[in-house]
Amino acid sequence: MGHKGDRRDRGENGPKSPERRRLLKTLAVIAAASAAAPLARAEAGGEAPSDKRDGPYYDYFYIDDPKLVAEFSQYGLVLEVNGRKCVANPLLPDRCMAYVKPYEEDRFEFRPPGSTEDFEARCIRCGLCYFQCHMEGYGAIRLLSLNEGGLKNFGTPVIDDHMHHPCNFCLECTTVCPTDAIRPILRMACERARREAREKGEKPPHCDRSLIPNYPDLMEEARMGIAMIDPDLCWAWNSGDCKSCAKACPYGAIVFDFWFNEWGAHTRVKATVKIDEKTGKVKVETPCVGCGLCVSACPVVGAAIHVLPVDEFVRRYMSFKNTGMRYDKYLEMIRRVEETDPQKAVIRDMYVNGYYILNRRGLIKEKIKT
Amino acid sequence: MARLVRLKAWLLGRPRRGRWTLARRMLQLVILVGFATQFALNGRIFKGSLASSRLFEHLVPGISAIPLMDVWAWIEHAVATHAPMLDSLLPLAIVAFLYLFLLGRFFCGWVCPMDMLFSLFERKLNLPRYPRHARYHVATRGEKIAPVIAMLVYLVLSVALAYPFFTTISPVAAATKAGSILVAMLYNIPGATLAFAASQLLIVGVALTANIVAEYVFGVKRFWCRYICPIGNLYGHIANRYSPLRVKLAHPERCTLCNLCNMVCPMGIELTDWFKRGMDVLDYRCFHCGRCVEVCPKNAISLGFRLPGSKGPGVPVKPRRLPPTVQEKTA
Repeated sequence: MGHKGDRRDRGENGPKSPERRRLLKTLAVIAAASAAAPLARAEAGGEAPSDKRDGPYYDYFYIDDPKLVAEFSQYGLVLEVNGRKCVANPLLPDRCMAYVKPYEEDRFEFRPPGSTEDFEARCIRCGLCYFQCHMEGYGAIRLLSLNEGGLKNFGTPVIDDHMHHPCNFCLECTTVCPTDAIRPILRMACERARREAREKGEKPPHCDRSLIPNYPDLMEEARMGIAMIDPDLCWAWNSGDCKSCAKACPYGAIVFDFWFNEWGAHTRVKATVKIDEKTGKVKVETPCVGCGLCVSACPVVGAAIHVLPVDEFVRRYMSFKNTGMRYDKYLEMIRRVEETDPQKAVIRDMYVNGYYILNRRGLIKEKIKT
Repeated sequence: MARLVRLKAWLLGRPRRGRWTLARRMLQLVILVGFATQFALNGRIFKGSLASSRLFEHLVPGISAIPLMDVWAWIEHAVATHAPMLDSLLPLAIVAFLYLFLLGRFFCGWVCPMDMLFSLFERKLNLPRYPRHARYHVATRGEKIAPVIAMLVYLVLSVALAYPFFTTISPVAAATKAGSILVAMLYNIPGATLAFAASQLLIVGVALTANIVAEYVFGVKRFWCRYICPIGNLYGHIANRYSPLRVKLAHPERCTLCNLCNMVCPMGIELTDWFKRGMDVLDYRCFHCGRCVEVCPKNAISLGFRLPGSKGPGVPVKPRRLPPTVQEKTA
């Protein structure tokens, strides 16, 4: 009989008891193993960091292959920028063709629909919106960790991956928020609709998101961001027949308008930026709520339609890419060229943009809904 | 056999745990595991976290859910936004009624998952020979005011930083959220990131470390609960004076002032001081864990309800004189 065994038999369970140490060691190993498994999975998945507001949000159409240079030289469309050759914009021959970066490099964080201005103050970090979003099966909302948001935004919800987990604008998160940090948009719309139905003596309407467009002020409150289409990257703006974004949109033709001709089903998000000349205040009038369903529906790899925060939308609208023009003026220009100059339209649609979309970005044909 | 005995001693501790501790741990575990596995039940029973939750959603006909909200979170967000949110009064009212009018500082001992963690790493007996601040004692004025000052600091910080300060770093909600996120990670639910779980566990760990250091280095029992956390101190300071649920001095004639209840109290209350005055334990620190009731060898005290106005039996317990020794008898 060893001395150690005797001590254990007497039941002296001090903090240095080998039994307890063994148990704790096993528990630690189990804990480490269970923590490492999802870690490895996360490493393999690899999520790109967001927030690319500082640099340019577009890429130039560079060409290094001499064959391509020769081909585009036929149309006199080769320029030299930064020591590299690039394809010129057929509509603006002195500027390079530029395309909005893929979604992964041009994504933003959005608060859930109906979030108030003083969101950090109102939110008590209970996570109800996050749990609700996942129980609905959408998985759009994510809670920020300490290293992402700092202490101020720690535990607050964001929607930041429209490509894989877009918000479906079901507005269920607005119904569970206990402090109205996310305003109860759906409930307010229902109450108004019921009141109106009662006044008219009609049957009360079914309560869902389709009521929201009847009330522009609620639409305004629910807005997370605004979607913007890059007409040079969009398949429908370059001789294609697509409309996938409009089909995916929860409000369809309320948000999108179309302009059909032989050069494609030109799809556009209804949005006008108005600037008050006296006060300098910028106001955006749009029915788009910025849910991001269009982003995941876009057949172009990296999406030709991106959802932007309102201030970023205004920045890009006022000066679109490297064109030096307003966004709506640029769209007008494309339209005018397609109506008056078919040859230029062919070069723009089929040769330049068509080549870039099909060969540089790629097109997922299964996603196209006409 | 010896192994079994040792396991039992390790599980139950010395002095042995009784039915109140068992009930408490069951409730705490049900709440923690319930929140952690809420995805599995699709939020039908538990949804949210201890900052705010919805219970029994669409489960009981006629009631969409029982919304609950932490009182301190409500206060802090009201201060941070400069305007109380009157829309959210229902969840607040349910919780406030429960704790402020019925149960007192029940939350800390029976609901809060941190209590489970803290009690894993604490001295089980608090001996009379320890120095004064480490021993059970009547709360001094400064000790009582310290958590109130901490609350004021949190409120000032909430206003200055414009976000609910303590609610953001509260380990109470963080423990349940960490549980939910860890379970969600196992099932690959999007948005459940290791970074978020790690941040929550970091907060829990900081609170636990602070508590352990305070106890084993400075001898202060339950430093976090007594001085730092405003959630329980709010109920303790307000509601424990009159709370119907309390440790009752049920049989004053049985009490021998043996000190055992003082020694096991996790919050370091000197219960016998109350008993000597003929009162129930109305100390702001008492979270109705029932540990004293379990160890009382004479069954003089019990955990139960009394009318809110009542202070106790009114019969003071007097120190008993020991029966005369042989020497005294012969003298």
